[in-house]
Amino acid sequence: MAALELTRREEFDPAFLSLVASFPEGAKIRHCVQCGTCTGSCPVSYQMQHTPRKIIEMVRAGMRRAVLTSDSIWYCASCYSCSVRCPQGINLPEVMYLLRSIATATARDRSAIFYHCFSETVRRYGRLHEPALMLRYQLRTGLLGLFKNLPIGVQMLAKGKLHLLGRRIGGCQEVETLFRLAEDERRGSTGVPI
Amino acid sequence: MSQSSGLKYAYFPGCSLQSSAVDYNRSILSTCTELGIELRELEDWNCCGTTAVTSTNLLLSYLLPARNLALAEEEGLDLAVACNSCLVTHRRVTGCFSLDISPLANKIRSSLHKIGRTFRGRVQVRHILDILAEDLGFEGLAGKVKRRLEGLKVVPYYGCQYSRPGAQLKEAEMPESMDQILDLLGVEVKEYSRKTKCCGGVLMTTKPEIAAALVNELLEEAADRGADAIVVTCPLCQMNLDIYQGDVNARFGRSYNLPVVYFTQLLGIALGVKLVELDVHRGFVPAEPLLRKYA
Ligand code: SF4
Ligand code: SF4
Repeated sequence: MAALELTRREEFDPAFLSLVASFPEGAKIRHCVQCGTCTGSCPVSYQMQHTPRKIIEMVRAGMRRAVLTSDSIWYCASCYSCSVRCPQGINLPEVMYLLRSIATATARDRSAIFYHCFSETVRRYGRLHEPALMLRYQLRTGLLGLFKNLPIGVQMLAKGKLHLLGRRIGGCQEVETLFRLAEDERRGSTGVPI
Repeated sequence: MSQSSGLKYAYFPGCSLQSSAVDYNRSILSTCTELGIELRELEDWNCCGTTAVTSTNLLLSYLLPARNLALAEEEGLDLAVACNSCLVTHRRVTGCFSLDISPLANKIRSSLHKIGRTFRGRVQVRHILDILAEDLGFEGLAGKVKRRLEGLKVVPYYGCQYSRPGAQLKEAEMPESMDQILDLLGVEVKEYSRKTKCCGGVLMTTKPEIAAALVNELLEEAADRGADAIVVTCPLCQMNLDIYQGDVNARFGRSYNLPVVYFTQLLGIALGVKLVELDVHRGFVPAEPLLRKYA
């Protein structure tokens, strides 16, 4: 495995595997037999820096930085094609979620930014409000995208498929409390997402 | 409303059905009314968080849908959902509660307690498609069909998350429930090997070149099979296939012109519901010319 040989020894952090394995879906990666069925079933693996199978092996080797900075974890489309076929019952999209949750604070991938903007929009309104989400997202990823998406937005508006005004739900305070509780948990003793 | 079927659910439309998929929402409501299925919209529901929240804060990804489940439990009703992603997100929570001892379930319980809610795991999460195919059942449906949609050729596209995770491999990759409903309506259902292949979902926004390639494959097979339309069960699939069809055509030099309709719209037509009540005029690729003759 070229990637392993090229990586300096200090980049192997055994605590990384323990961290991932402390979550139920993460623990199962110990049983991965590296058959590659996941990679073969994955509609986006051809674009990933490291394939799904390889990501699992890299986590097991403790390659924390390489895993968390790879684009692979952000390419996963949560389609579950891999998990329904995996002979070891590994739920790979859940492993990807877990890795994303660990990486999220520093991640610069466009998908990471999108997910963050989405969450913040839900935090404000209690529901998704597309114009607010797209504005947040485009402000962070470049306004060029806003112009590119404008024609579709205008057409959606004309078709009655977009509402410009957002409305907050009655339970916004409850939603805000749930956000705070989840954030406290992340900051808690373990420093991990759950 | 026609005669009651005795079926009643707390209805979770989800965010898409209030914007890009208002047509799905309208067709679900008119169709279920016609079938005597009572959908009572869950009061003050919140966004389930979908893959966005599962990708940023794991605990939160359980707490947001858990609040909805608590609201449904207060009503004493099962939860009807329309979107494949809402289905998976809510089921991730009920899944924790079906295990005997789940530390996560305890954490969810105590967090809900802090906002004055409780959830004991007594709610089932049902996709509208399963409500029609299983809870009402094919026989119940067959008796209500007033018009047969003879001559209409479609491919059934379930999207990736409807039948996953959890189902056995065959069901997970090649579900049949929508095929069977469409069969009942007299629709000609074509073979479609990409029934549950991914449409790229939210990658259409963040990595459009990847999602467009996936959508191109889906459209290509549908066209090759001789379909007049693609029938879907999920608002995100509909958006990627319909709203972005022009974009895919431009990227790949194609000229697809395939309407992408919700299964509830075809069902509604067969039940005798008026086209306007099924919102068939809202697709980017017009479906009306194809469907008008059946209404
Ligand atoms: S399919 Fe399962 S066992 Fe095979 S490499 Fe992928 S995760 Fe490992
Ligand atoms: S769930 Fe993710 S990793 Fe698995 S096949 Fe789908 S895109 Fe690939």
